Amino acid sequence: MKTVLIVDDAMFMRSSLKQMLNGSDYEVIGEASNGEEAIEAYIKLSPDIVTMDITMPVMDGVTAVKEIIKLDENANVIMISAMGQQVMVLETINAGAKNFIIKPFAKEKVMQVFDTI
Amino acid sequence: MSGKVNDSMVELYLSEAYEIINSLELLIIESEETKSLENNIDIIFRNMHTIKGNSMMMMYDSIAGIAHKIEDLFDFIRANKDVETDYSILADIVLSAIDFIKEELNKIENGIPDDGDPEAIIDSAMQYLESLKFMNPDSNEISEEKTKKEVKYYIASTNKKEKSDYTNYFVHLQYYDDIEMANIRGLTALKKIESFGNDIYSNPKEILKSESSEFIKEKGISFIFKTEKKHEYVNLTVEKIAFLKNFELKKINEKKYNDYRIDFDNEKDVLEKEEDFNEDVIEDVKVKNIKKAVKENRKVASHMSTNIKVDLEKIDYLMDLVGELVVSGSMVNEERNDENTDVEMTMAERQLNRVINELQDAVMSIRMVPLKLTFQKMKRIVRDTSKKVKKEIDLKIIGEETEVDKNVIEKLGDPLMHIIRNSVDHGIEDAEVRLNYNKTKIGNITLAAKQTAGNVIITIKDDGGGLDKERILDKASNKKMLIKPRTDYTDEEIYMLLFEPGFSTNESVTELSGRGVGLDVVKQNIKALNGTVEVRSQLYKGTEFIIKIPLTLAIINGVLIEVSDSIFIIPTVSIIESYAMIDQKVFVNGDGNEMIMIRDEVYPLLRLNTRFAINEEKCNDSGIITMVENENRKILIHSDRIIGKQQVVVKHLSGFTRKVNGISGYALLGDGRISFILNPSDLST
Repeated sequence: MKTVLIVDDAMFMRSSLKQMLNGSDYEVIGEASNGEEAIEAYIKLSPDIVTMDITMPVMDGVTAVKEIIKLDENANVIMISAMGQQVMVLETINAGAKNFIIKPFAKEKVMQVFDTI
Repeated sequence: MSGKVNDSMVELYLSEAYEIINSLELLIIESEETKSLENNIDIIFRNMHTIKGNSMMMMYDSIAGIAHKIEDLFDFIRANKDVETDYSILADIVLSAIDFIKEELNKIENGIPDDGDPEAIIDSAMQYLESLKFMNPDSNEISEEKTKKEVKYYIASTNKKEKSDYTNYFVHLQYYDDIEMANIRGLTALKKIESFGNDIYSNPKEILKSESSEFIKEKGISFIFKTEKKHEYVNLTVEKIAFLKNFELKKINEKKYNDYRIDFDNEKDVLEKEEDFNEDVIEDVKVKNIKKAVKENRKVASHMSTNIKVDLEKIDYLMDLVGELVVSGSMVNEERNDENTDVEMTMAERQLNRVINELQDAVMSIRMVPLKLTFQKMKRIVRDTSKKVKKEIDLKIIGEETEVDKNVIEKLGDPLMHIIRNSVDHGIEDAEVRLNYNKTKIGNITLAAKQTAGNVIITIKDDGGGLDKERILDKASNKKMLIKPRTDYTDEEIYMLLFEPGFSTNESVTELSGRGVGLDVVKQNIKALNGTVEVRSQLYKGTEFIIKIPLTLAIINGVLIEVSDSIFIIPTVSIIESYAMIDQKVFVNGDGNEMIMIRDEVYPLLRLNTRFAINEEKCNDSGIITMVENENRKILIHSDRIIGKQQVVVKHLSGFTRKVNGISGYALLGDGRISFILNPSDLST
């Protein structure tokens, strides 16, 4: 069972992901609604996988990924992006994010990306 | 979302969408007022982004589409801070988008297909975006596009490592046909290979070039690399790359590796010349078609954190039970009369009553919601109305945290909106007039709420022209609405004429406040909430509407009257006064109705035992008559005696009892008896 931290400012998105992961080999152990909370939660929970939204208040996902990888270079971060955010996704992949999912996402796609970790 | 969309997700989607849309509405109105976007632009952009993303997940395409365009518009403005924006046009566009989204959300909420056509609004957003670009030729494209040009092409690393025990590999990855951002997918694959391989070359060579995206989508991406890792490891790692339709992995010798290098350099399509058996391939490790890993959709329970949603019916039931507990409590009290002075019992009783009261308050508080949302909607009303009548108006809101029962709040929006429209349209004068009276050019309306024992008082006050009593009387006289000499009318009575059906002070019914209905509807709505509305005004200074409504509809203050063996409850708000029957003279008018004259006015007499066929015996010259206000006229209700005043928990007639005219519900009394609550507005003789 791998542990997951979900980071998204939209509660709906967090719940969607959580539902999709429900009953799988991944257990959601924490949620955060912005980059700062994400870093805090990462330190506290050290999850196996982080899903990271890009557009968020306080601190965006791009900055947060960089910070998390600074803290733990082996962090497994999966970006949750929207169409049209290529540049930002690229930036995070270069910074060390392991993979990305494009919204809107279906359960199968989410599972595939999770299984690459 | 693929598969079935379950209800809890729709609910969550809706609640988040409404929340975002409502706050967005306020932000855009604020930006229009302050003529600045600086503080809000990021939030507006982000909110639209969230709405878009959530709606796409739920496949609500019309909402997603419109949110997407507004997001684009704000992205442009965000990227071009110096662009001169017309805040009024911008607000119009965003507000119309908000209205559209609200309407669609409403449809979704009610299970109607979200079939609205956003084209017109999308067009206006696009047109405005185009005009902004045209007016600002030096502007940047949308920020995303702009940075796209700065992307450095990513070429696979070629640093040589001299190792003896490495193996050469060729791998070809073919993604699903619907793959998006294929070039970045390619990059993630490369990163993966980089974690264990060296001397990596890729085809296409420059993965991030925009043409590469199409190339990878169509033909896939190939890599050659060297690694010390065992081929099981390599195979497993490659297999785990996401979204592969199939892949081909083979060990190759040094010669083949170099051939591929040259082919890759020339961007040759290596797969096509791969037909015949090639002795350079040491081992075909794997050509694999990956099946779509579709796992059984397990039933998922929804996890909702901290807040739980409770059906209002359950709370009503709880409220009912508490009501009965209150009644039972008072039954206990009645049983033990004053003779019993057992100190311990008295203490216990007092304790019980205190807990019951607290319990009642606690249950009530569950139903309470702040007026905030209702009040904030008024900002929009003022904004739209004042724009139409070309007046500048400042709306001040006080006490929006005041809480009212949920049922009350739902019915409060319309009357408030009506009064506020009235104030904007008729109350506040035009700017020139205001300046002549030494008033500020900008009109002021204050919307305030406060709580006083069991009631909420809402006031809507403007500093406009005030009500002209003579004009009101003239008008009423023309409409033959006066029922006594005009000099006999008190100020209060004059203002109350405004609430009579068919009265409107403005000669021409305007598009805004007119709508064919007048303040009479406001009064009816407030009355339906067991509330009252009052007007105070000073000519040239302004007008104030004072609305008083009970905190809840679940509990009312009533006066208990006894008729034969039955007990009825009259809501205290509708009672004017009571008289002893013995002093009154009853006469019968032409229609056969009993009438009584009080202070030179004639009122119809209603006998509840006749009305509800309780008991035909009537005692003509004893008992009490109570005057209640019945919409526009007053009637007298006869009873044998008045028992007293009491707070009762209202229970509604439902299910097996059909609606009875004149009865709004029933209540349990302290002695366990059932008593009907009279509804004066549909009681008639």
